[in-house]
Amino acid sequence: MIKIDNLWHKYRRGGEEIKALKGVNLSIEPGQFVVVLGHNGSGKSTLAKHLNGLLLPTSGKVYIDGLDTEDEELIWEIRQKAGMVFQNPDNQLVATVVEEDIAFGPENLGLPPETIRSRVDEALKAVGMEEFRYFAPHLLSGGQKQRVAIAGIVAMRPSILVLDEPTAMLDPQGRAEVMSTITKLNKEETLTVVHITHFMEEAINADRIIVMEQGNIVMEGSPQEVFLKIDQLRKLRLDAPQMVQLANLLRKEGFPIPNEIMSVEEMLQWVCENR
Amino acid sequence: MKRCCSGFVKIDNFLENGDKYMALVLENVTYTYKPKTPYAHDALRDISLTINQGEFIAIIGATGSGKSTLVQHLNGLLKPTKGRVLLNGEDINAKKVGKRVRQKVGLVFQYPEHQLFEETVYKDVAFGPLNFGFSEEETDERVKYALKSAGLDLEQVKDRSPFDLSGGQMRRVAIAGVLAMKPEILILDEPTAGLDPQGQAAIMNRISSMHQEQGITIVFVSHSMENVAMLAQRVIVMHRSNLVMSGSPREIFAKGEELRNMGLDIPQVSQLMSGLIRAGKEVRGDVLSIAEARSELLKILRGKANA
Amino acid sequence: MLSDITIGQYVPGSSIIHQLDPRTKLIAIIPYIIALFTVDNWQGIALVTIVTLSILFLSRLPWGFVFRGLKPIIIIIIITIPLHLFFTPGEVVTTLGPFKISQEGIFRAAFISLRLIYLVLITSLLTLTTSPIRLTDGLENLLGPTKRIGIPAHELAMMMTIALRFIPTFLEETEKIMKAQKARGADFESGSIIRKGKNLVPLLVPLFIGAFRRADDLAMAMEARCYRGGENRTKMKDLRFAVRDGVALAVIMVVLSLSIGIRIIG
Repeated sequence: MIKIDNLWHKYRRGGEEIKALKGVNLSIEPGQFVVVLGHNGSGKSTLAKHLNGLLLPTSGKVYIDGLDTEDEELIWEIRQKAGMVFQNPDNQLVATVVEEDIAFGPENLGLPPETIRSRVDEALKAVGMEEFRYFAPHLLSGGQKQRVAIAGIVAMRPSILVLDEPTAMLDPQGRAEVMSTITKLNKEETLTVVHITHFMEEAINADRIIVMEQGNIVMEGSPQEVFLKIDQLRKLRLDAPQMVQLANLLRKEGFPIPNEIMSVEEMLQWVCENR
Repeated sequence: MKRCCSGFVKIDNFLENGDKYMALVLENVTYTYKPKTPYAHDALRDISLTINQGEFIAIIGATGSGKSTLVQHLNGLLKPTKGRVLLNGEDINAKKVGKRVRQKVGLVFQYPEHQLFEETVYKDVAFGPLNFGFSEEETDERVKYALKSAGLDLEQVKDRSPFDLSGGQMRRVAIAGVLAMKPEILILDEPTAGLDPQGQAAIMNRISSMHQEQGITIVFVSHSMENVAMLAQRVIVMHRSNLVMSGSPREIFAKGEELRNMGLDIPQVSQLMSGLIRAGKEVRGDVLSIAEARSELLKILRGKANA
Repeated sequence: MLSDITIGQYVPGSSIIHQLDPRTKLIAIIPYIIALFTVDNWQGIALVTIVTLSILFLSRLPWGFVFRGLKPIIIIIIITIPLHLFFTPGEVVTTLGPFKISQEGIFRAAFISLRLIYLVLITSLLTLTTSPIRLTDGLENLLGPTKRIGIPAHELAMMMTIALRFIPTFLEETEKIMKAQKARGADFESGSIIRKGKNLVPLLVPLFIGAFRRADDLAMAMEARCYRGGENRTKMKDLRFAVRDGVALAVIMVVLSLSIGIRIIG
């Protein structure tokens, strides 16, 4: 589905050559929920922009469903397959009315009007924004704007949804809205999700976590596997979620807490069962 | 004083305190948005609050609870519809005070880097002091102080364009721009918004240092309960235009249920303790850190083993 | 505050006026305005009044709301009325202090005020019943033939839509920046014109930089959604003339003819 082969991305800034990506190799299977974690400067956003050809490799290859992103003829097909949502909720919305903004993508694809209308209806439903259909974007909260942006992508029926730090500018409520929307899209519509973020809590329910640092993938695995490596995470100046850290400390005291326990509810349940 | 004749007076009699204890007081402040129209609603309702010298206060509340409206009353950007705001006993909205209160009470907005405009970092940071009539020498001293307090290397950045810097640095320059006025109180509206965990920690540490080393009174608005738990001495909770709680972080986060009903999150460890108490376990409800949670859990887990 | 201005705002609805093709409304404005400026007697005004109020009624918009949009021109009207009332020569009907009011004066004052009011009303009705995207779609379509002489109709329409979309956002941002600079002692009110101009730099520079940043982000987002200009692009709300459009155009042409007729006869 997504295949990244020895991807290098270099560019010049003020006379210096900056290596944003240093030979990244990655494969993502259809239907997976992958979270890419890392600090600013780790290369995670650069990686995201390679997935739909907004950036092209300095060397190496990126294949989306077998299509080479460097092939100019295929770039529009690739962008339809791999839809992308960005960080700033405001700077993605183009129209003055929500339903017209969602229609923007399908209109670009040249679909017939009736098809566009039904896609818009579906997309509004998929993100739970039906009652906001006729609203002006500036009246929406950050979380709502992001959901409209997601709907705009969903309406193009992509197979992959790439989200480049969609929650960075949102308040906790907006973050929760967005996370529940993309989790639902992954489970119910079987969209492959590649979610770029620096919030560790958003990775708890991922199928796979990829941790990047200075242009390389430095850790990879299921949430349990990655979060257990607390010392390595700390060296990367990342913190595992509080419950994971707590479980780890208790394990050191001899309590056999299962690795799967990562949320408050799970910890609560375990403590009550084992007290 | 070069600028005395154009109306700027550096040493003013109003709001001056000498060595006395500084206090910023809100007295029954109500702020009505769009008054006398059918859309009128109270963004702040009967708020009374005292901020004392040297405090480190956090304001939390769901979006729309009135936090931003509240902080804009502290430096006179918004004037109360009812009630008063007093700094050292003087009404800050009295005509004779004018804009001087904004030099005493510094306000850093969200995403402050969006307000940068000058050609060089130095000039941008100097904007504040110059507006309040400080001389070039005084301004120079303040700019140097501010850049240092914000954690920036003076020589490295002062002549660069602010737009050439990284996001984190730009934010520090913007904060320096407010620090340069040497305010007695520094108010920061979500200083960590949009930053990654590392950036957040860096900014909060800087603010904490300023508080400890210089004794600046700090008021910050935040959505990060972990930051609030770690750093604040007092927490003020806003809910639907009302000030509903005020107390130490321990007192506030022990009320997990109430906070959740207001749409607020509490640190995971506090949630855990709260849940354990509901399940009948005997643990402290006012735990704030992972280390404390660990101690509490060990108590009850070992308790069973000993039984 | 600035959101009280109704000119330019769109109020969603399903009235027959809302459903008319935007091109119909854009085209119909021309005969309407010609009629408005053609009539010059009571009968003519009555005709135009009936037409205008009918359109308002058919739009099913709240009248209070629509008329509130006339606030900006109230001042002009208040100045115009006495001017024409007292200074038009003709058959004197009454006097008010030193001023003589003629019959022609009364007519003139009423007529000119009403003309202005109707002009503003009809333009408001156009924007109130047609969403900005529909308006620009309509304009783009009508300007279509000009593509042959090199006018980028689609790009212009896109620019207008995006500009309209971002107006409220920029207003918010302006307020934010003003407050942030005021918190640093900036003064936007006092001083001479030149001083006020200089004082705007801390407001305008961040605004412009912010605008460029937005433009960059937006362009990327549009490309990610497969935008590549107007070629082969379809529209969700297709522009299709229906029977009601034909009827509307016919009606307005009849009104125009009647206005000309009334003027010639009257």
